[in-house]
Amino acid sequence: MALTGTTPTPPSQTDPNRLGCGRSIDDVWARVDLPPDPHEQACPDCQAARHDLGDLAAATRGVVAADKADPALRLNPGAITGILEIARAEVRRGRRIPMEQPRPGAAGDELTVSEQTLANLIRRTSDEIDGLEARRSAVALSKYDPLNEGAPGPETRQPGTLAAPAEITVDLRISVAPNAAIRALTRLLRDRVRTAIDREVGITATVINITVLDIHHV
Amino acid sequence: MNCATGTGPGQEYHRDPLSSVPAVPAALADFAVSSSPVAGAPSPPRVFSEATTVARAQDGDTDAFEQLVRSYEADLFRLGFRMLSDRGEAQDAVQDTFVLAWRRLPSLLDPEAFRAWIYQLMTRRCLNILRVRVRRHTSVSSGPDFELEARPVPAGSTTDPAATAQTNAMQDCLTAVLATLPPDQRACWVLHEMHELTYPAIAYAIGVPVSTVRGRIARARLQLAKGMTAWR
Repeated sequence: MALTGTTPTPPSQTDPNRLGCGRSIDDVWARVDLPPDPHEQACPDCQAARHDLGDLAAATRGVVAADKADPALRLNPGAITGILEIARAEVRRGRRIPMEQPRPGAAGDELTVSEQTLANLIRRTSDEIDGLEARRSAVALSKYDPLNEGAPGPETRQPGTLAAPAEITVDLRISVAPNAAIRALTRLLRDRVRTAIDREVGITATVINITVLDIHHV
Repeated sequence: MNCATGTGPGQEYHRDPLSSVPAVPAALADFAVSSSPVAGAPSPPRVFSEATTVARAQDGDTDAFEQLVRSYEADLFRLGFRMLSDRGEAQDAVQDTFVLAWRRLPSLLDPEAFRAWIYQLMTRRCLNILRVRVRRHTSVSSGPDFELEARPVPAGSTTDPAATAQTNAMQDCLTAVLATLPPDQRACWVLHEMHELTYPAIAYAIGVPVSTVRGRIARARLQLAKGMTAWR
Protein backbone atom coordinates (compact mmCIF):
# COMPACT_ATOMS: atom_id res chain seq x y z
CA MET A 1 0.00 0.00 0.00
CA ALA A 2 1.66 3.14 -1.24
CA LEU A 3 0.11 5.48 1.28
CA THR A 4 2.15 3.91 4.06
CA GLY A 5 5.33 5.24 2.37
CA THR A 6 8.44 3.63 0.95
CA THR A 7 11.16 5.67 2.60
CA PRO A 8 12.80 3.73 5.45
CA THR A 9 12.43 4.94 9.07
CA PRO A 10 10.43 8.07 8.35
CA PRO A 11 10.50 10.78 10.99
CA SER A 12 6.74 10.56 11.41
CA GLN A 13 6.17 6.82 11.47
CA THR A 14 3.34 7.15 13.97
CA ASP A 15 1.36 9.71 11.96
CA PRO A 16 -0.80 7.83 9.51
CA ASN A 17 -1.61 11.06 7.73
CA ARG A 18 2.04 11.70 6.78
CA LEU A 19 4.05 10.02 4.05
CA GLY A 20 7.55 8.66 4.58
CA CYS A 21 9.00 11.73 2.86
CA GLY A 22 7.34 13.96 5.46
CA ARG A 23 4.55 15.40 3.29
CA SER A 24 1.05 15.16 4.65
CA ILE A 25 -1.58 13.23 2.72
CA ASP A 26 -3.78 16.31 3.06
CA ASP A 27 -1.26 18.24 0.96
CA VAL A 28 -1.08 15.51 -1.67
CA TRP A 29 -4.88 15.30 -1.76
CA ALA A 30 -5.22 19.05 -2.15
CA ARG A 31 -2.93 18.92 -5.18
CA VAL A 32 -4.12 15.66 -6.66
CA ASP A 33 -5.84 17.27 -9.65
CA LEU A 34 -2.89 19.58 -10.37
CA PRO A 35 0.32 18.68 -12.23
CA PRO A 36 2.99 17.29 -9.85
CA ASP A 37 5.32 19.87 -8.33
CA PRO A 38 9.12 19.30 -8.47
CA HIS A 39 9.14 17.37 -5.18
CA GLU A 40 6.29 15.12 -6.29
CA GLN A 41 8.04 14.45 -9.59
CA ALA A 42 11.10 13.11 -7.77
CA CYS A 43 9.53 11.50 -4.66
CA PRO A 44 8.38 7.85 -4.95
CA ASP A 45 6.15 8.22 -1.88
CA CYS A 46 4.31 11.18 -3.36
CA GLN A 47 4.05 9.56 -6.79
CA ALA A 48 2.47 6.43 -5.35
CA ALA A 49 0.17 8.45 -3.09
CA ARG A 50 -0.86 10.67 -6.02
CA HIS A 51 -1.73 7.57 -8.00
CA ASP A 52 -3.89 6.07 -5.24
CA LEU A 53 -5.54 9.35 -4.31
CA GLY A 54 -6.09 10.20 -7.96
CA ASP A 55 -8.14 7.02 -8.35
CA LEU A 56 -10.11 7.89 -5.22
CA ALA A 57 -10.77 11.44 -6.42
CA ALA A 58 -11.89 10.21 -9.84
CA ALA A 59 -14.15 7.54 -8.34
CA THR A 60 -15.65 10.10 -5.96
CA ARG A 61 -16.43 12.51 -8.79
CA GLY A 62 -17.94 9.62 -10.73
CA VAL A 63 -20.18 8.51 -7.87
CA VAL A 64 -21.37 12.07 -7.25
CA ALA A 65 -22.18 12.58 -10.94
CA ALA A 66 -23.98 9.22 -11.15
CA ASP A 67 -25.98 9.95 -7.97
CA LYS A 68 -27.01 13.38 -9.28
CA ALA A 69 -28.16 11.84 -12.55
CA ASP A 70 -30.05 9.01 -10.87
CA PRO A 71 -33.80 9.78 -10.85
CA ALA A 72 -34.31 7.10 -8.20
CA LEU A 73 -32.38 9.31 -5.76
CA ARG A 74 -35.16 11.90 -5.70
CA LEU A 75 -38.24 12.04 -3.52
CA ASN A 76 -41.26 10.78 -5.43
CA PRO A 77 -44.15 13.25 -5.83
CA GLY A 78 -46.19 11.40 -3.21
CA ALA A 79 -43.46 11.84 -0.63
CA ILE A 80 -43.26 15.57 -1.31
CA THR A 81 -47.05 15.83 -1.10
CA GLY A 82 -46.95 14.00 2.22
CA ILE A 83 -44.44 16.46 3.66
CA LEU A 84 -46.45 19.47 2.50
CA GLU A 85 -49.72 18.06 3.81
CA ILE A 86 -48.22 17.73 7.25
CA ALA A 87 -46.83 21.27 7.01
CA ARG A 88 -50.20 22.70 5.99
CA ALA A 89 -51.99 20.79 8.73
CA GLU A 90 -49.56 22.20 11.27
CA VAL A 91 -49.50 25.81 10.12
CA ARG A 92 -48.88 27.98 13.11
CA ARG A 93 -51.77 30.40 13.30
CA GLY A 94 -50.05 32.53 15.89
CA ARG A 95 -51.83 34.74 18.34
CA ARG A 96 -55.32 36.01 17.71
CA ILE A 97 -55.62 39.75 17.36
CA PRO A 98 -58.99 41.26 18.34
CA MET A 99 -60.52 43.19 15.48
CA GLU A 100 -62.08 45.70 17.84
CA GLN A 101 -60.05 47.90 20.12
CA PRO A 102 -60.35 46.29 23.57
CA ARG A 103 -61.60 48.46 26.39
CA PRO A 104 -60.34 47.96 29.89
CA GLY A 105 -62.93 46.20 31.97
CA ALA A 106 -65.15 45.45 29.00
CA ALA A 107 -66.28 41.94 28.29
CA GLY A 108 -68.31 40.44 25.52
CA ASP A 109 -68.15 38.77 22.14
CA GLU A 110 -64.77 38.94 20.51
CA LEU A 111 -63.99 38.83 16.82
CA THR A 112 -60.36 38.03 16.11
CA VAL A 113 -57.96 37.66 13.23
CA SER A 114 -54.95 35.36 13.43
CA GLU A 115 -51.42 36.65 13.27
CA GLN A 116 -50.91 34.19 10.37
CA THR A 117 -53.69 35.80 8.32
CA LEU A 118 -52.15 39.22 8.79
CA ALA A 119 -48.67 37.88 7.95
CA ASN A 120 -50.00 36.39 4.70
CA LEU A 121 -51.68 39.66 3.81
CA ILE A 122 -48.53 41.65 4.54
CA ARG A 123 -46.45 39.31 2.37
CA ARG A 124 -48.93 39.41 -0.51
CA THR A 125 -49.07 43.18 -0.36
CA SER A 126 -45.28 43.53 -0.18
CA ASP A 127 -44.87 41.22 -3.17
CA GLU A 128 -46.61 43.84 -5.30
CA ILE A 129 -43.61 46.11 -4.94
CA ASP A 130 -40.47 45.45 -6.89
CA GLY A 131 -37.14 46.21 -5.29
CA LEU A 132 -37.88 44.65 -1.92
CA GLU A 133 -38.47 41.23 -0.42
CA ALA A 134 -40.65 40.92 2.67
CA ARG A 135 -39.22 38.54 5.26
CA ARG A 136 -40.67 38.00 8.72
CA SER A 137 -43.34 40.13 10.26
CA ALA A 138 -44.97 40.46 13.66
CA VAL A 139 -48.16 42.20 14.70
CA ALA A 140 -49.30 43.26 18.12
CA LEU A 141 -52.22 45.21 19.45
CA SER A 142 -51.18 48.82 20.02
CA LYS A 143 -51.35 49.74 23.67
CA TYR A 144 -54.45 51.63 24.72
CA ASP A 145 -53.44 55.14 25.62
CA PRO A 146 -55.98 56.89 27.89
CA LEU A 147 -54.21 60.24 27.38
CA ASN A 148 -54.88 60.06 23.67
CA GLU A 149 -58.04 62.04 23.18
CA GLY A 150 -58.93 60.30 19.97
CA ALA A 151 -58.78 56.87 21.53
CA PRO A 152 -62.09 55.16 22.11
CA GLY A 153 -61.74 54.85 25.84
CA PRO A 154 -64.31 53.20 28.10
CA GLU A 155 -65.88 56.52 29.01
CA THR A 156 -66.42 57.68 25.46
CA ARG A 157 -68.37 54.67 24.23
CA GLN A 158 -72.00 54.20 24.93
CA PRO A 159 -73.51 50.71 25.01
CA GLY A 160 -74.80 49.67 21.64
CA THR A 161 -72.49 51.91 19.65
CA LEU A 162 -70.07 50.39 17.17
CA ALA A 163 -66.70 49.46 18.58
CA ALA A 164 -63.66 51.21 17.17
CA PRO A 165 -61.39 49.15 14.90
CA ALA A 166 -58.46 47.62 16.69
CA GLU A 167 -55.16 49.45 16.38
CA ILE A 168 -52.10 47.35 15.72
CA THR A 169 -48.37 47.78 15.41
CA VAL A 170 -46.65 45.93 12.57
CA ASP A 171 -42.96 45.06 12.63
CA LEU A 172 -41.81 44.07 9.17
CA ARG A 173 -38.35 42.97 8.10
CA ILE A 174 -37.37 43.37 4.50
CA SER A 175 -34.45 42.98 2.15
CA VAL A 176 -33.93 45.52 -0.60
CA ALA A 177 -32.41 45.35 -4.05
CA PRO A 178 -29.05 47.01 -4.63
CA ASN A 179 -29.43 50.72 -5.38
CA ALA A 180 -32.99 50.76 -4.05
CA ALA A 181 -34.24 54.16 -2.88
CA ILE A 182 -34.94 52.93 0.61
CA ARG A 183 -36.86 55.93 1.97
CA ALA A 184 -39.27 56.10 -0.92
CA LEU A 185 -39.62 52.34 -1.08
CA THR A 186 -40.45 51.99 2.61
CA ARG A 187 -42.90 54.90 2.40
CA LEU A 188 -44.69 53.09 -0.41
CA LEU A 189 -44.61 49.82 1.51
CA ARG A 190 -46.12 51.44 4.63
CA ASP A 191 -48.85 52.99 2.58
CA ARG A 192 -49.71 49.74 0.81
CA VAL A 193 -49.65 47.61 3.96
CA ARG A 194 -51.73 50.11 5.93
CA THR A 195 -54.29 50.31 3.13
CA ALA A 196 -54.48 46.53 2.65
CA ILE A 197 -54.96 45.84 6.37
CA ASP A 198 -57.66 48.47 6.61
CA ARG A 199 -59.44 47.30 3.47
CA GLU A 200 -59.18 43.52 3.85
CA VAL A 201 -59.30 43.09 7.62
CA GLY A 202 -60.85 46.29 8.86
CA ILE A 203 -58.34 47.17 11.51
CA THR A 204 -55.90 50.04 11.70
CA ALA A 205 -52.16 49.71 11.50
CA THR A 206 -51.18 52.78 13.45
CA VAL A 207 -47.47 51.97 13.49
CA ILE A 208 -45.55 50.07 10.82
CA ASN A 209 -41.93 49.58 11.78
CA ILE A 210 -39.77 48.48 8.88
CA THR A 211 -36.30 47.04 9.33
CA VAL A 212 -34.06 46.71 6.29
CA LEU A 213 -32.12 43.57 7.11
CA ASP A 214 -30.21 42.91 3.96
CA ILE A 215 -29.46 43.78 0.38
CA HIS A 216 -30.31 40.88 -1.83
CA HIS A 217 -28.87 39.89 -5.17
CA VAL A 218 -31.24 37.83 -7.27
CA MET B 1 -24.84 30.46 14.41
CA ASN B 2 -23.96 31.22 10.87
CA CYS B 3 -22.08 28.46 9.13
CA ALA B 4 -23.80 28.60 5.80
CA THR B 5 -21.51 27.26 3.18
CA GLY B 6 -22.90 29.02 0.20
CA THR B 7 -26.07 28.69 -1.68
CA GLY B 8 -27.44 25.40 -2.82
CA PRO B 9 -28.88 24.67 -6.22
CA GLY B 10 -32.03 26.36 -7.37
CA GLN B 11 -32.62 28.07 -4.09
CA GLU B 12 -35.10 30.57 -5.35
CA TYR B 13 -38.67 31.16 -4.46
CA HIS B 14 -41.30 31.99 -6.99
CA ARG B 15 -44.65 33.51 -6.21
CA ASP B 16 -47.28 34.87 -8.48
CA PRO B 17 -48.07 38.49 -7.70
CA LEU B 18 -51.60 39.48 -6.86
CA SER B 19 -53.65 41.35 -9.34
CA SER B 20 -55.28 43.91 -7.06
CA VAL B 21 -53.14 46.91 -6.19
CA PRO B 22 -54.24 49.91 -4.16
CA ALA B 23 -53.82 53.31 -5.71
CA VAL B 24 -50.27 54.61 -5.57
CA PRO B 25 -49.39 58.27 -5.05
CA ALA B 26 -48.01 59.70 -8.26
CA ALA B 27 -44.72 60.59 -6.63
CA LEU B 28 -44.15 56.94 -5.76
CA ALA B 29 -45.46 55.40 -8.93
CA ASP B 30 -41.95 54.80 -10.24
CA PHE B 31 -41.53 52.07 -7.66
CA ALA B 32 -44.78 50.35 -8.37
CA VAL B 33 -43.88 48.35 -11.44
CA SER B 34 -45.29 45.04 -10.35
CA SER B 35 -48.49 45.04 -12.29
CA SER B 36 -48.33 43.44 -15.68
CA PRO B 37 -47.74 45.96 -18.46
CA VAL B 38 -50.27 44.17 -20.66
CA ALA B 39 -53.71 43.60 -19.19
CA GLY B 40 -54.41 39.90 -18.89
CA ALA B 41 -50.84 38.83 -19.66
CA PRO B 42 -49.37 36.48 -17.07
CA SER B 43 -46.89 38.25 -14.80
CA PRO B 44 -43.48 36.67 -14.46
CA PRO B 45 -43.13 34.99 -11.05
CA ARG B 46 -41.15 36.80 -8.41
CA VAL B 47 -37.84 35.21 -7.56
CA PHE B 48 -36.63 35.58 -3.99
CA SER B 49 -33.27 35.00 -2.35
CA GLU B 50 -32.94 31.91 -0.19
CA ALA B 51 -32.71 33.96 3.02
CA THR B 52 -36.07 35.53 2.18
CA THR B 53 -37.61 32.17 1.34
CA VAL B 54 -36.39 30.73 4.64
CA ALA B 55 -37.67 33.74 6.61
CA ARG B 56 -41.09 33.43 5.03
CA ALA B 57 -41.22 29.70 5.75
CA GLN B 58 -40.35 30.57 9.35
CA ASP B 59 -43.44 32.75 9.40
CA GLY B 60 -45.59 29.80 8.33
CA ASP B 61 -45.61 30.40 4.55
CA THR B 62 -46.12 26.88 3.16
CA ASP B 63 -45.38 27.99 -0.42
CA ALA B 64 -41.95 29.15 0.69
CA PHE B 65 -41.44 25.90 2.58
CA GLU B 66 -42.40 23.90 -0.51
CA GLN B 67 -39.74 25.76 -2.46
CA LEU B 68 -37.14 24.80 0.16
CA VAL B 69 -38.25 21.16 0.03
CA ARG B 70 -37.90 21.11 -3.75
CA SER B 71 -34.51 22.82 -3.59
CA TYR B 72 -32.98 20.43 -1.08
CA GLU B 73 -34.71 17.06 -1.44
CA ALA B 74 -32.25 15.68 -4.01
CA ASP B 75 -29.17 16.73 -2.02
CA LEU B 76 -30.56 15.24 1.17
CA PHE B 77 -31.64 12.06 -0.59
CA ARG B 78 -28.12 11.56 -1.99
CA LEU B 79 -26.67 12.14 1.47
CA GLY B 80 -29.12 9.68 2.99
CA PHE B 81 -28.42 7.03 0.38
CA ARG B 82 -24.64 7.24 0.84
CA MET B 83 -25.06 7.14 4.62
CA LEU B 84 -27.67 4.37 4.79
CA SER B 85 -27.07 2.40 1.54
CA ASP B 86 -30.82 1.94 1.27
CA ARG B 87 -33.18 3.97 -0.89
CA GLY B 88 -36.28 3.34 1.20
CA GLU B 89 -34.60 4.32 4.44
CA ALA B 90 -33.06 7.35 2.75
CA GLN B 91 -36.47 8.50 1.54
CA ASP B 92 -37.99 8.08 4.99
CA ALA B 93 -35.10 10.00 6.53
CA VAL B 94 -35.55 12.88 4.08
CA GLN B 95 -39.28 13.05 4.84
CA ASP B 96 -38.69 12.97 8.58
CA THR B 97 -36.03 15.66 8.23
CA PHE B 98 -38.31 18.05 6.37
CA VAL B 99 -41.17 17.55 8.80
CA LEU B 100 -38.79 18.20 11.70
CA ALA B 101 -37.42 21.24 9.84
CA TRP B 102 -40.93 22.67 9.47
CA ARG B 103 -41.56 22.28 13.19
CA ARG B 104 -38.23 23.77 14.21
CA LEU B 105 -37.89 26.49 11.59
CA PRO B 106 -39.11 29.29 13.84
CA SER B 107 -36.16 28.67 16.13
CA LEU B 108 -33.54 29.03 13.39
CA LEU B 109 -31.94 32.34 14.27
CA ASP B 110 -30.14 33.07 11.02
CA PRO B 111 -31.93 32.27 7.76
CA GLU B 112 -28.56 32.42 5.97
CA ALA B 113 -27.56 29.30 7.93
CA PHE B 114 -30.39 27.21 6.50
CA ARG B 115 -28.22 25.01 4.30
CA ALA B 116 -25.90 24.00 7.15
CA TRP B 117 -28.92 23.59 9.44
CA ILE B 118 -30.92 21.29 7.15
CA TYR B 119 -27.78 19.23 6.55
CA GLN B 120 -27.40 19.01 10.32
CA LEU B 121 -30.94 17.67 10.76
CA MET B 122 -30.48 15.10 7.97
CA THR B 123 -27.02 13.96 9.07
CA ARG B 124 -28.13 13.46 12.65
CA ARG B 125 -31.21 11.58 11.48
CA CYS B 126 -29.02 9.21 9.46
CA LEU B 127 -26.57 8.69 12.32
CA ASN B 128 -29.48 7.88 14.65
CA ILE B 129 -30.87 5.34 12.17
CA LEU B 130 -27.45 3.72 11.92
CA ARG B 131 -27.15 3.54 15.72
CA VAL B 132 -30.51 1.79 15.94
CA ARG B 133 -29.54 -0.51 13.09
CA VAL B 134 -26.34 -1.53 14.89
CA ARG B 135 -28.30 -2.34 18.04
CA ARG B 136 -30.80 -4.40 16.06
CA HIS B 137 -28.35 -6.27 13.86
CA THR B 138 -25.30 -6.75 16.01
CA SER B 139 -24.83 -10.27 14.71
CA VAL B 140 -26.67 -10.14 11.42
CA SER B 141 -25.38 -8.55 8.23
CA SER B 142 -28.20 -6.29 7.11
CA GLY B 143 -27.02 -6.49 3.51
CA PRO B 144 -26.81 -2.87 2.40
CA ASP B 145 -28.58 -2.14 -0.82
CA PHE B 146 -25.47 -1.45 -2.94
CA GLU B 147 -26.48 -0.19 -6.30
CA LEU B 148 -24.32 -2.21 -8.64
CA GLU B 149 -26.88 -2.38 -11.41
CA ALA B 150 -26.68 -0.26 -14.54
CA ARG B 151 -27.03 3.42 -13.73
CA PRO B 152 -27.57 6.47 -15.87
CA VAL B 153 -24.31 7.57 -17.49
CA PRO B 154 -23.67 11.22 -16.71
CA ALA B 155 -23.10 13.55 -19.64
CA GLY B 156 -19.48 13.82 -20.68
CA SER B 157 -18.65 10.26 -19.74
CA THR B 158 -16.39 8.27 -21.95
CA THR B 159 -17.97 5.99 -24.52
CA ASP B 160 -15.07 3.51 -24.59
CA PRO B 161 -16.63 0.28 -23.19
CA ALA B 162 -13.44 -0.90 -21.50
CA ALA B 163 -12.84 2.47 -19.89
CA THR B 164 -16.49 2.68 -18.84
CA ALA B 165 -16.29 -0.76 -17.25
CA GLN B 166 -13.14 0.28 -15.40
CA THR B 167 -14.77 3.52 -14.23
CA ASN B 168 -17.88 1.70 -13.08
CA ALA B 169 -15.81 -0.89 -11.24
CA MET B 170 -13.89 1.85 -9.41
CA GLN B 171 -17.12 3.54 -8.42
CA ASP B 172 -18.63 0.26 -7.22
CA CYS B 173 -15.49 -0.32 -5.20
CA LEU B 174 -15.69 3.14 -3.64
CA THR B 175 -19.37 2.54 -2.83
CA ALA B 176 -18.57 -0.77 -1.15
CA VAL B 177 -15.60 0.52 0.86
CA LEU B 178 -17.48 3.68 1.87
CA ALA B 179 -20.22 1.54 3.38
CA THR B 180 -17.66 -0.18 5.63
CA LEU B 181 -16.42 3.04 7.24
CA PRO B 182 -17.61 3.91 10.75
CA PRO B 183 -20.72 6.13 10.38
CA ASP B 184 -19.10 9.25 11.85
CA GLN B 185 -16.18 8.99 9.43
CA ARG B 186 -18.48 8.27 6.53
CA ALA B 187 -20.64 11.28 7.37
CA CYS B 188 -17.62 13.59 7.43
CA TRP B 189 -16.28 12.22 4.15
CA VAL B 190 -19.60 12.34 2.31
CA LEU B 191 -20.44 15.86 3.54
CA HIS B 192 -17.03 17.21 2.56
CA GLU B 193 -16.20 15.36 -0.63
CA MET B 194 -19.66 14.74 -2.06
CA HIS B 195 -21.59 17.78 -0.80
CA GLU B 196 -18.80 20.34 -0.51
CA LEU B 197 -19.60 21.36 3.04
CA THR B 198 -16.77 23.20 4.79
CA TYR B 199 -15.10 21.78 7.89
CA PRO B 200 -16.91 24.26 10.20
CA ALA B 201 -20.26 23.39 8.60
CA ILE B 202 -19.59 19.68 9.12
CA ALA B 203 -18.52 20.34 12.71
CA TYR B 204 -21.87 22.13 13.22
CA ALA B 205 -23.80 19.34 11.48
CA ILE B 206 -22.31 16.57 13.58
CA GLY B 207 -21.66 18.48 16.79
CA VAL B 208 -17.92 17.90 17.12
CA PRO B 209 -14.89 20.23 16.98
CA VAL B 210 -13.42 21.15 13.59
CA SER B 211 -10.21 19.32 14.53
CA THR B 212 -12.22 16.11 14.96
CA VAL B 213 -13.79 16.59 11.53
CA ARG B 214 -10.36 17.09 9.99
CA GLY B 215 -9.06 13.91 11.61
CA ARG B 216 -12.08 11.85 10.56
CA ILE B 217 -11.84 12.99 6.96
CA ALA B 218 -8.12 12.15 6.88
CA ARG B 219 -8.79 8.68 8.30
CA ALA B 220 -11.67 8.10 5.91
CA ARG B 221 -9.55 9.13 2.95
CA LEU B 222 -6.79 6.76 4.02
CA GLN B 223 -9.21 3.86 4.47
CA LEU B 224 -10.89 4.50 1.14
CA ALA B 225 -7.59 4.76 -0.74
CA LYS B 226 -6.36 1.56 0.90
CA GLY B 227 -9.62 -0.21 0.12
CA MET B 228 -9.43 0.79 -3.50
CA THR B 229 -5.79 -0.24 -3.76
CA ALA B 230 -6.63 -3.64 -2.31
CA TRP B 231 -9.44 -4.00 -4.83
CA ARG B 232 -7.12 -3.11 -7.71
